[in-house]
Amino acid sequence: MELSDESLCERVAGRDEAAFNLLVERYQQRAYRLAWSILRDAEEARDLSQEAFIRLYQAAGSFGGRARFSTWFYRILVNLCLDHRRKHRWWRRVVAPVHSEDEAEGSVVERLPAPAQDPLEELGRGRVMSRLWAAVDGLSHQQRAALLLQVQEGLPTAEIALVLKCSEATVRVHLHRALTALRKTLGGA
Amino acid sequence: MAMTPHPDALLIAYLRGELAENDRRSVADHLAACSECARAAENFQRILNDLGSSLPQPPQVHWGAYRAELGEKLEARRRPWRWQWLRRPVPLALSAAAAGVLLILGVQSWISGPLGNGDLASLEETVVASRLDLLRQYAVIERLDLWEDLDVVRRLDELYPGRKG
Ligand SMILES: [Zn+2]
Repeated sequence: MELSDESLCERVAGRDEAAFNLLVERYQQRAYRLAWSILRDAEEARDLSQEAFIRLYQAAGSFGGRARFSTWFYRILVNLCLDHRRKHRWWRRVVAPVHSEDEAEGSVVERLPAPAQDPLEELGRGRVMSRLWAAVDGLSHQQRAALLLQVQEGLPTAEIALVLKCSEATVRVHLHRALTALRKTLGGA
Repeated sequence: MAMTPHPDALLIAYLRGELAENDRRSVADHLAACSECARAAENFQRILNDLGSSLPQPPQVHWGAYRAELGEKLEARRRPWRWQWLRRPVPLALSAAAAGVLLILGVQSWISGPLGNGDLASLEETVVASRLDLLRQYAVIERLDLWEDLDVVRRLDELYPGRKG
């Protein structure tokens, strides 16, 4: 029978290298992809997802099994990525001043004027999708992280709240603002 | 029927089927009566579906190399502090020592007058000779690393040829 992530993590706490390698193999693609979705930089995503595995190795003893392993691990990973973005915000402001901030009232996307016609008719689906994802990039870090955890990782609101260390009500507000902004981008009334 | 307030923040939880029965019923009733929220809910659902079906893919990764690199990073963290002390400052110490030798010889030759060609050659020899000794020490330290199986970590894929990234 295949061992659960949770039991593997318990073994990692006992310094079981094989269990650690197995967890890395199970989560490496998801971890890298999620880090990349948040950071949009392959090198940083590689580095920070590896850092998340190192933290997992070091902190496996504190897992405790109260949450699902995936939630606990995503919490380490996502917060590493968000902290990284916060720390480098001053630099991003210099090189890419269009990116919005967490505290800003409304994102860049929310400030864009809505197109006059339904873009689904006006443009091909591919172009609409790239526009949609460009708008996702323009969301605040928290909004984007909440949205990605939902559409990419399929996490329910309660788990997104655990990962982002906030209340479910806050996650709902993040998601609602994110979708309202995206809807405006697509010209939804 | 009196219109309840727009249930903005509950809409997505409603679409995902996450609401408790009372809230679910209240949102459903509101949507039946409020075309504005009904349209928003429809748009939100479409956007969520579109995002889910068009996830951008990050650049490819060679997973064997990724795990080997992770193994090296983890090993470096676990190495006792004295190994780190031995490893890290050596290249620094090398350059500092070489710079020091150059400076001393430079100052000496400056005091004893302009350098001829022969003087330059002997200066170069002295510096290289002093470096050689240091370099030999550095090589020993590099070899100590092998004791820590770094090389094995680098070649994990060769040990398990059946593994895929
Ligand atoms: Zn309404």
